[in-house]
Parts: sequence; C-alpha cells; structure tokens
Amino acid sequence: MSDHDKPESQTTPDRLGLIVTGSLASGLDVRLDSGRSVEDIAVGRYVTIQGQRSRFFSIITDVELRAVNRDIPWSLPETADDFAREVMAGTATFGSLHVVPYLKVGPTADAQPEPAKTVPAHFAEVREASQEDVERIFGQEDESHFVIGSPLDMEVKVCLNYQRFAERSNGVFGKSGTGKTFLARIVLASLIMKSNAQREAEKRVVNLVFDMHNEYGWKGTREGGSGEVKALKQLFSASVAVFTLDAESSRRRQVATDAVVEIGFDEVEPEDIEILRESLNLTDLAVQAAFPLERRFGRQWIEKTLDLDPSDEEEREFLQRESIHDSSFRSLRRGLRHLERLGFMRPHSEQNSVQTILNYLQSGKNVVLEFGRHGDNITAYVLVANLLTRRIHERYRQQKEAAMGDRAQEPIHLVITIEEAHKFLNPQVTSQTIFGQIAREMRKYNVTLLVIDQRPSGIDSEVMSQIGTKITCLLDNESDVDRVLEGVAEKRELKGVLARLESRQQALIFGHAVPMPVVVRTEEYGSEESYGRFADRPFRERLEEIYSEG
Amino acid sequence: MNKQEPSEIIGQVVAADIASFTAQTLELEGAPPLGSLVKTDGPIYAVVCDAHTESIEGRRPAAHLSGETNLESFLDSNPHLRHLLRTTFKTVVAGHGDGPALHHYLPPSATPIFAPVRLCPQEEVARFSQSLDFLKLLLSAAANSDEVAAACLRLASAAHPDRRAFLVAAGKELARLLADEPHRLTAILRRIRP
Repeated sequence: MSDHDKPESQTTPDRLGLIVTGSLASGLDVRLDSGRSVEDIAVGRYVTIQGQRSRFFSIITDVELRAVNRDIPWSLPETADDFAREVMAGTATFGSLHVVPYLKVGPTADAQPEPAKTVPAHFAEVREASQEDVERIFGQEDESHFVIGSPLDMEVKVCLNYQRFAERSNGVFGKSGTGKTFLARIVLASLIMKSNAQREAEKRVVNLVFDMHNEYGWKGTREGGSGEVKALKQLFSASVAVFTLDAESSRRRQVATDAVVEIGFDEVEPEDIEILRESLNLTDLAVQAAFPLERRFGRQWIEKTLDLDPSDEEEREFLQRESIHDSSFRSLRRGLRHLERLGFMRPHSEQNSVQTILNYLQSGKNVVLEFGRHGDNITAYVLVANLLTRRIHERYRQQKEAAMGDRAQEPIHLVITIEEAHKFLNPQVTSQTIFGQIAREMRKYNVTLLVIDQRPSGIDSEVMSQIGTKITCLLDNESDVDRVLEGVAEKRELKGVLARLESRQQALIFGHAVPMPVVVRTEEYGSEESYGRFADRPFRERLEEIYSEG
Repeated sequence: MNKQEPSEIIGQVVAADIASFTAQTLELEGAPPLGSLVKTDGPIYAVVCDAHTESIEGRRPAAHLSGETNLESFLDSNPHLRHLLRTTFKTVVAGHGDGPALHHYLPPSATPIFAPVRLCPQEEVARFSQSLDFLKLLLSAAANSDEVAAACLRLASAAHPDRRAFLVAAGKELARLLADEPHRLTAILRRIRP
C-alpha cells in the first residue's frame, strides 16, 4: 500500500508507531512511524499501547536508530540529499523506541489498572499518553493522594498514594544539588497535610525530622541557594513544633523554637558509641571497652571514664582484668572527650528530651529537631538521631505491645526523617543502629523512616530492599544507581532513564506508592500560591464541623 | 507520449505470456517511450520495457543513406522500406482490471494474441499508480528492470498533482523492496530524484 495520497488518514496525531517485537521480561520495541522524528521523543515519557482488548501503559526507556539492512545507512552518504533521507525515513531506516509495559487496563471504562502480566500483540498501535490516561493511573489529589509533580511535557499532576507511602519506609536519593531537600520538604508537608485530613486516627502519621541543616523547621533555603522559602512550621503552625539542639543559632536565625534539647552523658549508652566508631575514629577494641566500663560505673560511666586515672593501681588492675589495653582505653577516652565538647551535652540533663518529644508526637504534633551549628558535625548528628530514635522506638514498642489487640490504644504512626542515611544504614553499622532495625521490621511498631541520602551505595542492600517508595533525583555514580535500582525488575531500562534526568527538579519515582515508575518535574514550591496548597484547610474544616455539630 | 490520442491504438500483441507481452506498432516509429503504461483489452496493464525495429524477413537491414541527412525524407524517398521493416515493443505486465477494481498483480491468463494495445491517458496513469505494488513486478523483470522502474516512475510522477510526494512514496516502496540491495536502491533513487 502506498500512503502518498492519504498520508495521515489512518493515523491520529498522537500515534507514534507500532509494536514490532519484544517480551514482557525485556520490554517492547516500537517501530516509529515515518512521520515521527526521533528527535521529538524523550526517555521517561509515557505511551499507551492499544491491544486488542486491553490498553497497556508503558514508559519509554530507550530510543534507537535502526536500519532493516545493516549496509543501507552506509551505502547512502553519496546520495544523502533531502529526497533520499525522506525516502529512507521509516522504510529502510527508522527510529525505534524501547518501551516497558507496566500496567494494563481492561476494555470497560471503570476497569482498574493492574500490573501487566502479558504484552500486546504484534502491530498494536502506540500513542502518546494523554492527560486523562495519566490522571487515571496516578489518581487525582484527594484525601488519600498527594501531588508530587507533573510528568515530563504534561500539565497533569502525578499523585502518590498517602496510605501506601506512609506504611513503608521511603527514600529520597540524588547527588548533592539535585533538590533532595526540596523534594523531602514537599513530601513532609504533604504528609502533614494529608494526615490532618484523615478522620480515622489509625490513618494519621506524625513526623520526627532530624534536621541537619535547619531546612525543615521554620524556613529553608530556596532551591538554587538564593532566598528563603517557608518550611513546615510556617505552613502548619498548629501541628509542627521546632526543637533545637543549638538555641543560640536558632535565636540568631530568629526561629521561634518550642524546646531546647539537651542530652545528658548519663543518657549515652555504649551502643551509641558503637555507631560512632567511624566518625570518632575509634578502634574496635576501644568500642568494646565501653561495655565493661558501663557495667562498672553505671549511668555515670562516661564522666567516670573521663576522670579515671589509669596510673592508679586499682584502676589499672580493673583495666587488666577486663583486658582493656591501654591504647584502646586512650582511644575511647579521646572519643568521649570529643562528645564532651558538643554544646548540647550535659553531665546530666534535667529535662527528659525523649519524653518531651514523645508527648508532642503522641498529641499529633510533628517535631523538627534543628541541629543549628552542630549540623556540620556528623558525630553529633549520628549520636543524637540514634540515641533519641532508639529510646523513642523502645517506647513505641512497649506501647504497641501494650495495645495488642486494641487498635485504639496504638501509638500514632511515626515517620522519622534522617539525612545522610548511609551513616546509619551502611553495612558495617546497620545491624547495630536502630535505623537498620526500623527499616527491616517495616511498620511492625508503627515506626517507619524517610531516608534522605546522596550516596545510596553506602546503604546496606537489605535495608534498601525494604524501602517502599524511592524518589530518586539525578545520580551519576554507577554504584549509587545500581543500589537504588537493586531488585527492580526493569533495572536496565530505568537506569537509562535515571541517568538522563535533568540535574534539577526532576525525579524518578518508583515503588510502593505509585502504580508504575514515573519521571516528574517536581511541584513548584516557594510561591504564595504553592503555600496555599498546603493550607491547613481540612483541619479547619473539621473544627468548624465539630463546632457546628456542638 | 502525449502526441498520441488518449485511447488510440498504438499496436497489436504479437507474443504474450502471463508476465509480459510483445506488441508490434502500427507505425514504424510508433513505439511508446520506455516506462510508459499501456493497456490491452481486459484490461491488462503493462509497462514498456524495450523496443526493437527489424526487418520483417529476418534479414539484417543494410545501410542505405545516399546523401540524405534527414531520416524522414530518406524514408519518404524509399517508401518500400516502411513495408520491409517493423517495430515491436516489449512490456512487463504490471496489473489488471476487474470491473471497477484494479489489481496490481498478474492477471489469471496471458494477454490474448492480436489484442490491440493502447497508451494509457494521464488520468488512468494516475489512477493505476495510486498503489505502488506493481513496482515489485517491474523490479523482478529480467532485463533493465531498474531502468524501467525509474523511467516508469518519472513518467507517472507527471500524472500526479504533487510530483515530489509521489516520488517520495515510490521511493519508500522501493526502499522496502530493495532493503537487501542498497546499491540497486540508491541507483534507482538517483534516477528518480525530483
């Protein structure tokens, strides 16, 4: 059949081509129509494939120049004028797309998308996905969906499923400067907003954010580093409390804080030292030495260890009995001295920080803990995050067990946000830190994580496999990409997509909270309009309802 | 070829098989151009692929020029020569009609002997070349097939309002057919480039 007199009569403007080959395991090859230019295609975009009975939603993962005969392109240059090029396009030479089918929708209008377990037949038509298609898959913003961004070249919104997002640990990854903080802020604000809108207590969540660089509490730096944006407290003044470890820094930044957190030496346990091994540069034996010292001195072990005089006969005998070598002891003491210099450490803290934080969390308030100037000190960050989380988790465990069988008594679901997650979740320490345990036990005790990290290759692969939804900005280190995509069926395909994200405001999202992987331009954040989206409206509406009922 | 009246008879079939026929012209110089579309009753459509002038006795004509430089006046002054010579042209069958339908594949039977042959008018050329499936028949013909196909497309393009679009579409069909023979393909493309 010639098509010169009816060029587009059988095709629609959004048609891209036809399925020619492929498999469910490795994706499908699409032969691009001769009227379509490969230059208009971008990996990461959505296409729909119209099978005989079902429609398949797929993502473009590769674009290729093909020729039916290997020699044709090589025989051409001498005649490579416009005419020859036009003739060859779509016949002897053509563009091809590699697409991966993810979801299948039945023929009826109300059919729900389900994972694709087969592929469309040969020569099924491939089209660009329409706005309605995308809306149908990712849902519209409502009580159980929140907006994260828009697909490339589309105006519709991509929503994450709030329930599914909250019920697993999640991760935000990307090399530095790609907008992780920005994304995490949107995610946190959305979680708070959706939680406030829930009527059933068991669907609510509270956040505890270990805010390394003071980005989430009162205000944060605008993406790109110029200017400021409102952070959580300004958006949800009633449901967010800002705690600080560095009152002076908070004052200087004019941040109204709800409490100052101090940590007593008597709250630090040898397990907390264990995870600091790397950052304090301790030897294994020095870490081991902490345990007998704690057994001997009890809760005051740090102070007493620092005061201990190894030249004293009695003490020397003790050290020998416990086979603590002099160098290990010195190494440990040097490490403990480092802790002593941290501004928020006290010999004994009158306030019970853990209880204060827990009280806020239990009353449904989100807590952002600012590190002030200590944010640059990774030792301080790891110590505090680990110490507080361990105790909070312990309390959660007790409460959860006490509430066994009575869902109303269960503690409110807690999401803990940590940055530089590889410091807590690397294979060497993950078995010792509470974070590794939380990641592995999923939401058994109503606690999950939101990990933010720029070096996901440093995170233990077992922990990584437990991360439900991954929001990934550009990563260019091969091992980081591999770790993020570990265990994903379409790893090879998504790798290409991930490597070609723009370095800002674009993220690949895949996992538990989205029905299929999606590349988004992240939602605008920083204008009054964008703040309006997070307005505490549902909460206010509920209050009004309560009053009108009364 | 436009000198001919649209449906005027230009020759008569003198030999035929399913895929080709040979016709003798009524006029000694009446052979249609290479690549032009002709038809016989049926109708069977064919593309001219060769032409041949020879002695009817099977002898080789001897050169007779005696001072004339003009071929026309030479033949006028030797009127018997027109009766001793004949012109035949060979064609490749490119399709056939069946009622209102046109088929671009071989007819069920060979062209009848002595059937009159007409040159197709432009409108019919345009209608026949709507589909380019006949190119496969042209390309598989024995001799000069590439030249015949190129000539046919050049002539047919004149019958279409958008000449370039037609040639591009034809080129695409050739590219599909000759995917394994890039050199043949590029040679034909050079011959039909608008």
